[in-house]
Amino acid sequence: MIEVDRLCAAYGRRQVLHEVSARFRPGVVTAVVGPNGCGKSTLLKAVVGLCRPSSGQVRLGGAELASLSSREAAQRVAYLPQSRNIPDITALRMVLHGRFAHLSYPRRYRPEDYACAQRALEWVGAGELAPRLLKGLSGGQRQKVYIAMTLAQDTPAVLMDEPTTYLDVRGQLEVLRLSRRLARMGKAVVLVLHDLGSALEWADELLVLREGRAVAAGTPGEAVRSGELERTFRISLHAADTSQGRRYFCGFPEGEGPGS
Amino acid sequence: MKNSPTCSTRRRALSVAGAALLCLAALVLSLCLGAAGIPLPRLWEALVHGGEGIEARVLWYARAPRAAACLLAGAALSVSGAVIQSVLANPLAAPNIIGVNAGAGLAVSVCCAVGASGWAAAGAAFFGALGAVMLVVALAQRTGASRSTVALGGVAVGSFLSAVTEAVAVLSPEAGVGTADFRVGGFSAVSPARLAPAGALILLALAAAFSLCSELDVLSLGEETAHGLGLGVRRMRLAFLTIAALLAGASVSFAGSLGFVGLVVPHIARRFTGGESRWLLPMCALSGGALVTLCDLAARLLFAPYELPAGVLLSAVGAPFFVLLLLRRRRGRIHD
Repeated sequence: MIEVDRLCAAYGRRQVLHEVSARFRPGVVTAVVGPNGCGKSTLLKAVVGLCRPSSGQVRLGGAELASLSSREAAQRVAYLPQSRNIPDITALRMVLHGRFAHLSYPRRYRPEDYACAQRALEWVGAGELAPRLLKGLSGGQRQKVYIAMTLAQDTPAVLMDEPTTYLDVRGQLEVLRLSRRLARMGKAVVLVLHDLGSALEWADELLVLREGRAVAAGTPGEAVRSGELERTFRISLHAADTSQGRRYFCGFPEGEGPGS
Repeated sequence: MKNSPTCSTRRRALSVAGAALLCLAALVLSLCLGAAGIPLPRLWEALVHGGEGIEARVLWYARAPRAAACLLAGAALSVSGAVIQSVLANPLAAPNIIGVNAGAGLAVSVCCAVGASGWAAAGAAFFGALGAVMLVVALAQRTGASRSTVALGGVAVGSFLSAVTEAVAVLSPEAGVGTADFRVGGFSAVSPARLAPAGALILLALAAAFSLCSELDVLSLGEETAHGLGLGVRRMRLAFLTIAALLAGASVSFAGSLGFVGLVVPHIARRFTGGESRWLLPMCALSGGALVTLCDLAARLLFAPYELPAGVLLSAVGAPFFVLLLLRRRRGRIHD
């Protein structure tokens, strides 16, 4: 369980988060949504300690983040940032780095770490990529490798910042399906998503941010009914019941359509 | 390596073994060849039994210190370059590119001007190098600079420090920092007394770098990813930049401002071993030592009886390589 309590954060003089409170529960996929610059990525960074809050608290599994070392925090929450370097290493080695927080100096990976990394790669359906160099993989394959790394990190919570960006439709669906599988394992999964349709379809809960403030939280249905999604994005949402459940479609509000 | 889909342990082990053999061959050639040639059987005899013969004297007082200096400087600058490239996640970074060599050079020149040498010069070179690298990193963090801007900022800092070094050379001509050997890097003035303290610092820093390979690998994934994996990023970045400055600074204290070794060697080494530090750093140390030793040998022999500073040949190899890197970067093979 990750608990965020009245969190404020700033970059220099620019206040980005204003008293945001949220709970990310085990077994639940929470999508953090909001317009560009509303503080979604900053919220995730504050939860893992990359951005120092100006006030408020973050608790990871009951322990206050400020009281945890980097290693202890990494044993409680895995974090995939938006931008990553692509080093000249194999996929297996990349996944092995997920074990880093569980090792003491001199941090030599043990046979059980290799086995854990290989299992994680197979779990995401990328076992055959183990000996391949990361630079030779497609964006979707790389994203699977990174998700395998978070699995190898073996934390109760996983935070991913825009994991579907730059992926084709199939790649996006595979990442979203893996996120749900992580939640079924009992992990608290938090995704920053730009695609509102994907968020409404794949997440159990939504946290809606507008100008650094949490304006709505709850199931997709609750978030839609609150009207905050339409106000926040300045769009209109339409629901349609299909054989695969309820789907939402985004469009311009009345009077702002393509013909206007 | 780039187009290879995999990177096997066998290939990497063979590459490191090959570099070790090349290094050994370069060492033997450097000891045997010169104005007075020493045949291989007599080299062995002079090495094992010593003695007062002319060959033993040439070997122990001239060639052995010089060969050791070449190996140490090559290894130090190459490993320093690999560490800086990993920490800054910038393939264009190297001790001479981001002003580390210039910082060490300025500190050494000031030491020479006031008559200090030995441990004092090696220590001052370290602090000069550390000061330069911290300045460039602070500039990059303050401006949120891109990778290319870090390199350009380093060039600016390096140019400024080199200008001050030039001023010291003009104002204190007796210090010797205006000599070609110091300005472009060379080994003709190496002595055991000058080499010993710097060599000890280099060996210490190499041991520290090799013992932190996993941390360096995680840091090279980027600040945010490394933090997410549990690495104390600020602490480790400072530790690695200190190691890189120690290596480059100690090298400059006896070999002057050798250019491009720290840029060229890590890129060549990476093609054979990939980016894992446990393979890359030994490969850099061995191939860097071999390259500098062979360049120094060529500089001694090509125009004998005249001798070029080794740095001239290294720059002749390194400058075109740097241009090639820039061109490849433009084609998108190295991502910013």
